[in-house]
Amino acid sequence: MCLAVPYRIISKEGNKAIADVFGMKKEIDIRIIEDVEIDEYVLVHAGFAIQRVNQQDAKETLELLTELCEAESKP
Amino acid sequence: MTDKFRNNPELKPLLNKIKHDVAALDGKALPLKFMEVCGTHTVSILKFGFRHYFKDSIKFLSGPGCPVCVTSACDIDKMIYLAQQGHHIVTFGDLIKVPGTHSSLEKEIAKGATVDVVYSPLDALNIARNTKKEVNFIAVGFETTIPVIAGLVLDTYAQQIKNLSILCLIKTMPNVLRFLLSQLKGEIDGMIMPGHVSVIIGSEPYEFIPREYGIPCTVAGFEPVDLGLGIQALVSQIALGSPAVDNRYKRMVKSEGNRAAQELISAVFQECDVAWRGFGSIPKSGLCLNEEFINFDAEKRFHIKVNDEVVQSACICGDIIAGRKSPIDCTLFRKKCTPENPIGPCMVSFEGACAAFYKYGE
Amino acid sequence: MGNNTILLSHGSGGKQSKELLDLIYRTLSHVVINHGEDSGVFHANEGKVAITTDSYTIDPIFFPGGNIGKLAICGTTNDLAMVGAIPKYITLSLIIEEGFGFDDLKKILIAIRDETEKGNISIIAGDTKIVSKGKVDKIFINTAGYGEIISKDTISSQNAESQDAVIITGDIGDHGAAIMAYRNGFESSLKSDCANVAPLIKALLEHGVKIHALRDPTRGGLASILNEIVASSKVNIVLEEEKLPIKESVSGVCDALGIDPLYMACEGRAVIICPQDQTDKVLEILHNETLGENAQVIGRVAEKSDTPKLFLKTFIGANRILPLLSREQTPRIC
Repeated sequence: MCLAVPYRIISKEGNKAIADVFGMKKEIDIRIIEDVEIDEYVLVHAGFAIQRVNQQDAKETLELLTELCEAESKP
Repeated sequence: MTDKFRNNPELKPLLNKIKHDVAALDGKALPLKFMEVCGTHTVSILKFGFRHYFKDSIKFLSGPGCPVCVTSACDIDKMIYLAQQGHHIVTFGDLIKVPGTHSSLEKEIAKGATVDVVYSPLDALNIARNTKKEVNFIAVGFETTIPVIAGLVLDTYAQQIKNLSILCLIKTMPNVLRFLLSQLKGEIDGMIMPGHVSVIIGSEPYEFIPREYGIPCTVAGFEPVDLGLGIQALVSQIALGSPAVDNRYKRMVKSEGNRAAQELISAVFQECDVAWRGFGSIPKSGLCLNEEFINFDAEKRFHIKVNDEVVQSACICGDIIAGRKSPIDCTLFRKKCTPENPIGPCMVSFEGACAAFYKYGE
Repeated sequence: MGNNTILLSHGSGGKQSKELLDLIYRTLSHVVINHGEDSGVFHANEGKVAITTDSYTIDPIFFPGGNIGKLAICGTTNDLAMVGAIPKYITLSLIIEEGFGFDDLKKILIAIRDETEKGNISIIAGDTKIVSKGKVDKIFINTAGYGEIISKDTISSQNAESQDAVIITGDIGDHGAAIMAYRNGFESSLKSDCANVAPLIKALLEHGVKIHALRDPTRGGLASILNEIVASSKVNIVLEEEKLPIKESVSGVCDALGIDPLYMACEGRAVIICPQDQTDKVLEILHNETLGENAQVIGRVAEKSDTPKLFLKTFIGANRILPLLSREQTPRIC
C-alpha cells in the first residue's frame, strides 16, 4: 500500500534534507531518522524518510539469492 | 543497487526452483493460496509477471491493503461535504474518483470545488499559507503514511497555520489482520506482509499469525528479487511444516520497526474503532487525533453532517477485500462497473483487485 | 510599465490590438507568409497531401526542455510525419487569458519561430483572441498543419504485420516524467524530449526504407499507441522489458510517484513498425542523427489475433498484458 524508494542524502538542516533520487534532487523530511549522515541512503515515502537503508543487509539478501540459486544448480 | 533487486540473472533459477518445490509438496492442494496484504505488492505481482509465472502453482489473493479500497462510502461523503462547503481539499490522487453515496470528488470538481492532488501531505502547508480558504487534508493511509500525517499536524501547530485541518480516516494493520484471519480460517497457505508498513511497526506484530493460526508469513520488499525470496520463504516453511515470520526485507525492516516513527505517531494520535468498507467497525483498527490536537480534526471543527443512509448496491467490494469473493463473482463487473465508471473502490484504485482483474483480462 | 500584461482591449481590434499584433508579426516575421490577408494562399503539389489539427494546453506552460509554443509546432509536425508527410505550412491560433504577460508571450513566440524556421515550415494563417480571466488557463494554442506525402507506400496503424520489428527512436517517457517531476517539486536535469521528428522520418523515407506503421507516443505514452496499433492491425505485439530505453532518472521519478513510464507522454519520439529486414538500415540511419542516437528495437509483432493484445515480456520472462488505461496517471501513495 505504500510506495517508497531509496534516496541518498546530499545535505541536511534540522528536520529537512536535500536528497538525490536517480540524479534528481528533492527536499525530504528526516525527523524520524536519528543522526542520518551525508551519503546515507534512506527510504522515502510521500516526502518523508521512514528508514535508513542498511547496505550490509542488502548485500546479505543478494548473497542469499546466490546461495539459493547454487543449491538449485547442484542437484 | 535497485537494479540488482529488479533485473538479476539469478532470479530466474530461483523462481524455477520454487515451481519445482511447490510441485513436490506433499498433500497440499494446488494452487497454493497466498494473500498479499499490501496494494503495492498486488501491483508488483502483476507488473513483474509473477501472477502469470506461477499461475498453476500459486494463486495470489489481495487483502485489505489498499487505503482507498477500504475507505467506506460514508467517509467519502464526508470529503464531499467539506468540498461542498467551499473548502480547499488536498488529497492523494486515487481518492478523487471513489464514489460516495451520491457523488464523488471528481464530480464536485466539475461543479467548481477546489481539489489539489499532492505527492506529500506536507505540501498542504504551502497550500494553506497561500489561501484564505479552509484547507482540509484527507488523511487516508496505513502505518507507512501515518508518520507523515503526524508530521503535518505538528508542523501546522508549530507554524500556527489556522486554516488547515485533517479529515482523519487513518487505519492500522494488526487488528484488521486478526479480524480477517478469524473469518478466513484455513483458507490461506501463506501471507506476504506489507513491506513498508513493517518498516514502521516491525515484524514482531505479526508473530501471532503463525503462532495462533499456523500460517507462514514473510516480510518482503517490492522488487522482483524481494518477491521471489519472499515467496521462497513461504514455500520452504510449508515444506518444513514450520510456520514463522520470515523477514526477507532486512535492509529496510527491523524486527522492532522504527521507534522514532512510533513515538511520533503516539505523540499525535490515539487508537480508535473505525469502519472498514465491507468489514464494518473493527475495534482499535484506526487512529484519531488525541486531545492535544483535537482542534485539527476537520470532522469536529466543521460539524460534518452526512446521512447514514445506505444505498443498496450489488457491489461486492467488501467481500473482495476480505478475500471471500473474486471480482468475476460480481454482477456489475465489466458491465456497469468499469474503470471509466467505477461503482466500487476496488475498481478505482490502481491497485484494487477489480481494476487489476479488469486490466489484466482475468 | 503599465502595458506589460495583455488586456481584453488588446483583442478589441482597436489601437491596442495593433500593439499585440506588432509583437507577433515582429517576432515571427521570417516565418509568416501572406501577412495581412484574410486567408493564406499557396500552390499545392500534385501528389498526396496530409492535413492535421490539434489544440495545445499544458500546465506548466514553460517546462524543462520547452514551452507550449515549441510543443504546438512539434506536435503538429510530428502528426504530419506519422503519415509519411513533410510538413510545409502551419496555421496558428492563440487564445490568451486576460492578464497574460507580454514577456511570456514573447518567449512562446520565439520558440514558435525557432522551431518553424528549423523545420523549414511557414505560418500561413493565424488568429489571436483575448478572453476574460478564468475562461482559459493562461494560453491555449490551436494549429492546423499541411504536409506533402513522400512515402510511396501507405503508412497506417492498420498495416502492422506478423514478424515486423517494433523500433523506438529514443528514450521513453522523458516529457511526461519531466512535467511530473516539475509539478511535484523534484529538482532534476530531466528535460522534455519535445522535438520535431519529421527530419528523422524524412531521412528514413528518402533512403527508401519500407515502413508499415508509424506513431508518435504522445498522450497515453508508448503502451497506449501500441494498443491502438494492435487493435487496428489485429495482431499481437510483444515488447521486451529488458530492451526498453528508459533513463534512470525517468524510472526513478516514476517509481517515486507510482506512475508507469510506459504510459508517459513522449513529445519527440516515433514508434516505427517495419519488416525485420529493414531493421539494420533503420537503426543505422537513426543512429546518425542526434535525435535518433538512442533508437532501439524494443519488440516485435507476433501472430494475428481476433482479440489482439499488447504484451510485455518482463524481466522474469513472464508475459503480461499492457492494457489501455482510461485515465491520466496521478501520483499515488500506494
